[in-house]
Amino acid sequence: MTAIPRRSVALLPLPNALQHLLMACGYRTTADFDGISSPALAHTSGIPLEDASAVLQMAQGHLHNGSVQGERSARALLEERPMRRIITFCSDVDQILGGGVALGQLTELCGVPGVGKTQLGMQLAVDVQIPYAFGGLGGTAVYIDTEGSFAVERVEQVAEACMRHLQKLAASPNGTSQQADAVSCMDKEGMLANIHLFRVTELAQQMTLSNELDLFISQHPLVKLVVFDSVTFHFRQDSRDLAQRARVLAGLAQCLTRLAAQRRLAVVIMNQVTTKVSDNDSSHLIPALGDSWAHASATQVLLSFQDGTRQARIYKSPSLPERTAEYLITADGVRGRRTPKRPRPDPAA
Amino acid sequence: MPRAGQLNWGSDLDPAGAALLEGLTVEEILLKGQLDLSYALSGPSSEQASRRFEQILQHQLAPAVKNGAQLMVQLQQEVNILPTGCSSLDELLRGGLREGHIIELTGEPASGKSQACLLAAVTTAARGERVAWLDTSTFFDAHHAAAFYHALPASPHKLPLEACLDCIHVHPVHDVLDALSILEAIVLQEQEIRAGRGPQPRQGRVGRLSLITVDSISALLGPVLGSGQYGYGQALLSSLGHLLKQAAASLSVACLTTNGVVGSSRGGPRPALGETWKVQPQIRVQMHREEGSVRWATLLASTISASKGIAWFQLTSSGPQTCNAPSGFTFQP
Repeated sequence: MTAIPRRSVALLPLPNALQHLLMACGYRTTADFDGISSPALAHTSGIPLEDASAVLQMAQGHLHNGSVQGERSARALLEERPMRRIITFCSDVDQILGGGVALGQLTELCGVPGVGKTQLGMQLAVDVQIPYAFGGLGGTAVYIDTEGSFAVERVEQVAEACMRHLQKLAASPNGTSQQADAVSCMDKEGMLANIHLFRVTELAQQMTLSNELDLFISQHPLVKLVVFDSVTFHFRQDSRDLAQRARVLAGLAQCLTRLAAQRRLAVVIMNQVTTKVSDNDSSHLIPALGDSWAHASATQVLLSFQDGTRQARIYKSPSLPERTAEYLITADGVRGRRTPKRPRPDPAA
Repeated sequence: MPRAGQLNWGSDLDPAGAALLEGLTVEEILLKGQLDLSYALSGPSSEQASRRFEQILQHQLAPAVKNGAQLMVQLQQEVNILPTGCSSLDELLRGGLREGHIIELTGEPASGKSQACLLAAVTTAARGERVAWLDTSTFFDAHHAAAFYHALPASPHKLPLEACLDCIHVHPVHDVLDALSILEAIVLQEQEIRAGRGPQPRQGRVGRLSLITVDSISALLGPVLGSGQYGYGQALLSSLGHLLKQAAASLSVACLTTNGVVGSSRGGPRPALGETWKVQPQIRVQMHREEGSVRWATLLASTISASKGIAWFQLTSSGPQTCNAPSGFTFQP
């Protein structure tokens, strides 16, 4: 027996009032719309003609016309040219991240205040602009600042240091003429202009912005990085209703995941940490925002102070092993240790 | 659900009755009440007509009855059990993922849910059976899949890498309505293929859809549950569960889903999505993080086993692999 797929009107993405109206008029499932014209539907249910034709279109189209669209085989995904990643300027951190911050998914940086989340965010906003000739993306960045910690003069320092480094590379014996051309086109003002900052001062702004981002990015196709610094701020202040917080966060995660996947860009989210006490009275740091948010990001990186150094550890990833790397915050931005060495394997691993 | 006009009514239906039944589904007729219907059928008396109506429906629509012995034979001969590729998990699941079941992996982040799904998908696809993967959070990683494939034991039935990966179809899914549409389309497409219409992938059992993975259910339902539109979220939740069950039963495929946890700070983690979702999967496995890359899994609920067992595994570059329990570990169920 072949089931004719149909869906309850209650499950169509329609306004509640319209659903109730349709059901009151006897339209319970998509099958009930078969063979009905939009004037007839408008007449019997008393809804405007435009609404009626929209409903009919939805009822007929809810199936993707019976064919499966948008799927790709794992083989096609494997043979896809690997997308370039956004480097952090710290080779050890890049290495544990699999070559830098990945496009197409969410990366979450969690850590205590002062550990360098915003520094890393600003560094990435500069690094995403590294021209193609240098193995970069030549993109632009959107920076969403909820805490007011974005410091433009600091970005200027980081951008200058990045340009000095690129000039050095282009002038070195291995430098190519494309690299020289690319670096001659760069200037400090241009790099700052390529960072679009949204300063979010309250939760309502945050919720409306995440919906508007897609529009902004469709108008600015060069955006390859969205930094959300931080996602927690307005929730920590305003968490009367934890269930509501969880739902809003889940919606935000869904919106950002869709943005990352469809626009092929990297989304980097800053999060706080919280202390978890185990049964044996030992405590350790875990990402904040609780259980439901914890699954939002593909990769979670825990930033912490260990023995006087800053460390990044892969806390969760579907594809990266749990490894640790040290990094420094210098006048030029985020850098690796002066003597490059292989990342220390996690003692627990 | 077939439309009433498609059933074979024989000579019982006069033209007026045919017009009445035309366009209605059988479900709607059943909901209509007998008196209305008896008028639609010709016959000496309305009572006789409704009895006749019931007979026709029963004869053509009611599910066939089977006894326990027949079911056992069916289970042994027809129902396949898909190994997950990790022997300790297989032991916990009594062989692996049973076709017709929804199996849910629940656990904290990084407890190995997605990796266990990926290994099961690659193991299934390496036999040439197809896998539909609904990816809600861009967790699917083809390079990882290839690494898992290379670590699979060699066997004469193991397909080459390309053919294996061809069998895994990844559907990006960003909300629950997307998921419903895609699942509906997958079911329809598979019915067409099995009925001999549409493109035929391969001969025999090979090429058949055996596994549907949804990673993760909680990412789909999180934004719609518990809002002011309480009923809407719950309706979407039960429809998704219903559709998965229907797909599992009608196509006899295994459905593997992942779910997050709630309350890990208060009284230990338990699966997210609450009581309404709880009844949907036949089998629920909870995964836990231990030191380093070591993980363990227990059976939270199962309709086929009362096992209090515990499966130890380690997340490696070739997927979750069985390992020994750390010394001194005591488990209190």
